[in-house]
Amino acid sequence: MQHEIIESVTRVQAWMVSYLGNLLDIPHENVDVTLAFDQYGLDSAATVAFTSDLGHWLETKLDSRLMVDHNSIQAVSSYVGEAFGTAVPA
Amino acid sequence: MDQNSDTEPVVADVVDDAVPNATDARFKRNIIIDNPTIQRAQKRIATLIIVVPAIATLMAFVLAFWIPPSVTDLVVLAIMYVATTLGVTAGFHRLFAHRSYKAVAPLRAALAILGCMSAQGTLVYWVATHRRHHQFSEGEGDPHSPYTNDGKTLSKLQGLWHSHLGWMLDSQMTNTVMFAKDLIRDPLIARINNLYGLWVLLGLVIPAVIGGLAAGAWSGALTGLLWGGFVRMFLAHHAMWTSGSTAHIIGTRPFATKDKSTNNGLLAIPNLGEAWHNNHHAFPSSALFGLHWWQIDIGGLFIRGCEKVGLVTDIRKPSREMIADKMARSDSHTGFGVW
Ligand SMILES: [Zn+2]
Ligand SMILES: [Zn+2]
Repeated sequence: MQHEIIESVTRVQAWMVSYLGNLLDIPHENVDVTLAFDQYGLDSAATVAFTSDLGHWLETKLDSRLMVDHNSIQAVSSYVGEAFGTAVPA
Repeated sequence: MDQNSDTEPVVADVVDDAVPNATDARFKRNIIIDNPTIQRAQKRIATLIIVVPAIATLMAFVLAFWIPPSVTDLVVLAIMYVATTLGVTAGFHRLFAHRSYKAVAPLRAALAILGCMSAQGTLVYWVATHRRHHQFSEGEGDPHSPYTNDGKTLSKLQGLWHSHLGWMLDSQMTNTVMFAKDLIRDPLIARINNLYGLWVLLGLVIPAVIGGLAAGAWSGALTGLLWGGFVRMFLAHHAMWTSGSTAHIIGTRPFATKDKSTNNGLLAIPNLGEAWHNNHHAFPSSALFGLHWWQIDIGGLFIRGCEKVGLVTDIRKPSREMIADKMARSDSHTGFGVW
């Protein structure tokens, strides 16, 4: 079980790194998963869009405050990975 | 302008670039944010933006019986009206949404800040919503068509209300990542955009300070705030919002476009050229909205003036032949539109 959660967290993190890398046009390896979203220049409309798109990928509706309460890729992916577990798409 | 601008994708070049992996299932996404909590928050802000300047304008006129605005207040109103409206038409609309010319960084920054002072939404959000308007004009997905809302046909009055300002209260939020990625990833623009509230506030503080200093009294600060701040905001809002409402309802339609956009020479004066809106939908990537010498387009004149002094390059505009050709191929009686 523990192992599955770690896998889910990793998958969410990879999706988010890829999304943010494409959004900002920076190489994925340069995406710092610990950096706060506003440090990346994202305003609330952009983080809400990010959240909504993450929700589409997970085929669910996420709380619009998700990226306010969890303000980095690392924080969001550990929360989402744990909450959704094996429901996270491969 | 590029030679295929007849079948011009309008904004698709920008939007496509904004969706690098559109076919990748991992990036399947919607054009709108379907979230009731966000919509309620959005509605509260929009209500403030619409109602506060309106009430303050009413107060300014009533108060004028006792404390009329000074000449300074009215001059500040006029200057700030023109400056902030240029920020929206030359900046938000022609430069940032349509990328119809290139500007040096200080001018880009100035136009971005002035546009924000106009309090018509953040730069990125304004641009995203406007690109959506072009992409889906008069169809499902158009945020402010006077003819349809969310798949429902609107009556004339409903349409006028919805397209002018009602849309800000009931339409779904635009996905800015999908429509305005180019701006989100521009560090200078993102920084200015994210200080939106500060610019709006400055747009109120500046006229208050000038009014107060000129009069040497608090009453001067009050009339300065009311006239240069709120009345200016109210007038600029409604002048600009006609480019969503009446500019799709009343006026001439020299070009057959997929939407019902119109030209309106009278409104083009207060909104600095925006009301040549049928021209604009026919040639969306043209920096100039007035296509003939007699079509007064102050926003376009401003851009050409900036070109003369070297602040602007690469002004895109259709050639005489392209205009004549498009007009010839338009149904000769696209005529005059009143709904
Ligand atoms: Zn339009
Ligand atoms: Zn436009």
